[in-house]
Amino acid sequence: MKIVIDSITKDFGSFDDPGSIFRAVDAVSLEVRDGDLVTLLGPSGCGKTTLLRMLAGFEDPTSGNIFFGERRMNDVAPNKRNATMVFQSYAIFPHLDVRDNIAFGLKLKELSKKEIRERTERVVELVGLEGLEERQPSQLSGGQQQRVALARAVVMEPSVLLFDEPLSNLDAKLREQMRIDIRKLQQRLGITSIYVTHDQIEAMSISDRVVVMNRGRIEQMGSPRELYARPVNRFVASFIGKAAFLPAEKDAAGAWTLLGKPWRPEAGEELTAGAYEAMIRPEAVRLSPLEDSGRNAIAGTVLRATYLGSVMEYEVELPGTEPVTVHIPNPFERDPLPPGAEAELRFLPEGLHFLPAEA
Amino acid sequence: MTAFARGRREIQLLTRDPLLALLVVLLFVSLGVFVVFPLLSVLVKSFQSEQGAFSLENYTRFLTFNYLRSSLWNSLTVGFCTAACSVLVGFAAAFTITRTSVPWKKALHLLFILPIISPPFTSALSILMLFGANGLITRGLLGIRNYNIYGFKGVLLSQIFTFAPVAYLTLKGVMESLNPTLEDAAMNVGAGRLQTFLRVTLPLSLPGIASAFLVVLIESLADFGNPLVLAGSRFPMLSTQAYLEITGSFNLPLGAALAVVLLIPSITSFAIQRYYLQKRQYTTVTGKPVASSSKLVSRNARRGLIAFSAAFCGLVLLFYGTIFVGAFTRVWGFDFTPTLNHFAYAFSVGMGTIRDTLIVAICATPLSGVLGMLIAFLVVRTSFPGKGVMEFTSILNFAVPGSVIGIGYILAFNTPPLMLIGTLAILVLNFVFRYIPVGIQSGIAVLRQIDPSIEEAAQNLGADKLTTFRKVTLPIIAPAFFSGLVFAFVRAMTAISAAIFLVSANWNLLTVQILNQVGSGRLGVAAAFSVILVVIVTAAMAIIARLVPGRAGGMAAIQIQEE
Repeated sequence: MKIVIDSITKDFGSFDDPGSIFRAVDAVSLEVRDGDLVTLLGPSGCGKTTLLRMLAGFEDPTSGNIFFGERRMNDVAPNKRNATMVFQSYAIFPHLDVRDNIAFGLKLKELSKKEIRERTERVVELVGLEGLEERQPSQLSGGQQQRVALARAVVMEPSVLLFDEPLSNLDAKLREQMRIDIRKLQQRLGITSIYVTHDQIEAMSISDRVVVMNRGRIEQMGSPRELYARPVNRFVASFIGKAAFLPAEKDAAGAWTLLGKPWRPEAGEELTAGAYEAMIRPEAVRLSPLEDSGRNAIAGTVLRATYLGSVMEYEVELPGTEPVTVHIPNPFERDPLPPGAEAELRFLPEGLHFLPAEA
Repeated sequence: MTAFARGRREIQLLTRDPLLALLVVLLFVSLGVFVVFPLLSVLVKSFQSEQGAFSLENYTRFLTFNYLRSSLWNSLTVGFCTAACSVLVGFAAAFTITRTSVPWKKALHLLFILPIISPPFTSALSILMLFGANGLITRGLLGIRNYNIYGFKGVLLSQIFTFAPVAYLTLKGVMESLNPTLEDAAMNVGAGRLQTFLRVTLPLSLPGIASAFLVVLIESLADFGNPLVLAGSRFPMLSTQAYLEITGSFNLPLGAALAVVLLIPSITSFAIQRYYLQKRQYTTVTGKPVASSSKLVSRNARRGLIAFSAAFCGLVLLFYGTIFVGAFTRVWGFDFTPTLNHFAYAFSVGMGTIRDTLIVAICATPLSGVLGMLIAFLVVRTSFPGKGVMEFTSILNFAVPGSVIGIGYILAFNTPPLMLIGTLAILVLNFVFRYIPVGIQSGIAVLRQIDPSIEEAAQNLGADKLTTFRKVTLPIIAPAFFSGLVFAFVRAMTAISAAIFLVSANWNLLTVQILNQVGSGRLGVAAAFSVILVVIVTAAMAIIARLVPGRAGGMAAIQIQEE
């Protein structure tokens, strides 16, 4: 089912006291294709959860429209939306066992006993809860509770699945496993899904498309690859992955300077003259001892070298700007540069991206 | 969006859930009919002459007649003295329980609160038996002839005994939520014990103390049983005087006017307590229980507190013992031969009353419980126009003295179509609407602790608001619900102030029966009825405790919402 969000705004606060009004979601428009999983990603307070709750019907938009398919949903009660949700706190009914939790919605639909049993059993198997059907919620681990919450939503065969930071209460290992399981399940069932998270790795690994939100607005929407390689601004660039931003300028003749020195970036030919910020990802930098050979190399001083196993992470200080983070793969191949060492940096053209300079 | 537009939007949202909308309307109508309408009737009646024309004569009479005017003064004096003494006693008891290491804490606590669950004039009856003209202590031990316990001192003593436990419960809650670490911190920076108590403990519990004071004041003003037994004709008090004007002189308008006069200090105290003091409590709720510090109390202070607690407990035991022994004694004060005559008499004249009382309580209890929880649910979890009004009217009866409500009911429901005088319904309705405030308050407290997403999850899976309430909320709040039921049942069994206006030949209540026996001097029979009443109440509490679903597993899993 296609979802269309058309210029949705949500204000909180008392209308009797205009000073107290807070705009949580600000004229957001968005289209989700049938069967896609779209993530709403952003820092806390960016409006992502409010947007999700409006889709579920728990909040009422101040203005704008929500469509599931062709149907306008604004005035449809939450219990009539067929958009089931996996809650951050799981919201397992504490007085019901696992089976009754999962069958809760089916029983409300007054389906036949046989159908309820069959569908419940199928989902129990699908999420891997076999043998735990009789357990009380208090006897379940966090991961198992998470699976009950997922099963309870999926068993309804909803037209839309909503996820509200479902993995934020799990430990790192389990989170990774659940991420994979949720994605597999979603693709297998082909249910259009909206997934809220503040974890960029989670967003990138699970989504068809990611919507980056900040202060109630959409900053950028795109595939994980687009967002990482071609962020539209500094907020998106630094929210998804690490990056350094170096002042660069292109003159009318097409010549570049970086940090005030002549530079040939091997990228950005299409850009007009003006001031830019060159966004540099840590893995797109090559670092070598200072030899004063390449004209395109930028000289700097190693501040810190940290061995992270899969990479060696350097902080390199450049004159007149913030330090640059550099990731050098295969750290066992050579000796690290010690702190204080003079070094030169080269930027790989594939990892370079120019943003208009921010005032 | 203006307030008007928002109201319209709320109505729109409500119509999505037609059953819920219907329920809200029904609740508004019933609160209007059974809470607001009787009060308005009292107000209107108080401005009428006996012939029914508009007149201020009742109020001018109140102001000119010394006897009537003094009833206000007496009620207020007794109220303030009772409140002050009860708070003193309650604070000492609460301090002992929360800040010292006394032995048998649990038993002490139970003895402290025992007077709360007993009929309202247990103490009045005991006082008569101990200090009356033929009292065991006054005449028997001290040999005083015709000692007069009636009047100020009798009512005061009886009310302190009755209401100190109320102050104790309130203050215990306050002291428990005061983090003892603050006291440790004061001592850590060099304050002595007394300084710590005067500069930290006392100021921090001051709002709680003020709140307890006002609650006791409200209860004392509303009290009916104690003044009726112990005030005597030379010491008129408002709540009983209103009753006497109506049942003795058949002067309804004057009774109504006295009720209105009584209402003014009650409502004022309630407003201060609820809208001013409650926001000013320094509770430091951390979610985990803090070990209480006993370093604050010196050895001697501890001894003093223990002696005091023992004394109060001794008094409780003495009063109850007196009733118990009195019920099995031939003629109290003269002939202490054991006998079952009083019980035989009580059962022969009172079987019907016992049955009536049980029927009324059994009808009123579940109704009041369900209604209380429903209103709590609506107030906490939904929004509709007039929600604040609904919350206010539903807890209004907490402040309104029972005798005012009783007068309101006889005024409001003595004409068709609501001709309810003399029926079972009027007693049941009166109890339901009088005691829902407590259910509502505890329901609200519990609901605020349940993660709202549990209810959202139910809706999300297709349940409308009422189904959610029935299938999810109610099972989760069952324990609070049942303790609300216990309270409602105890009150329905032991209440008198409103009920005395509403009983009839067809439907009588045990409490009224006890009062009649006291009135005709049959103290032994009254004591026997009291014992029967206490036994029924205790048995019912045990039964309800059994009914509470014992699935501790389910309850342990309530997800307390993280703040």
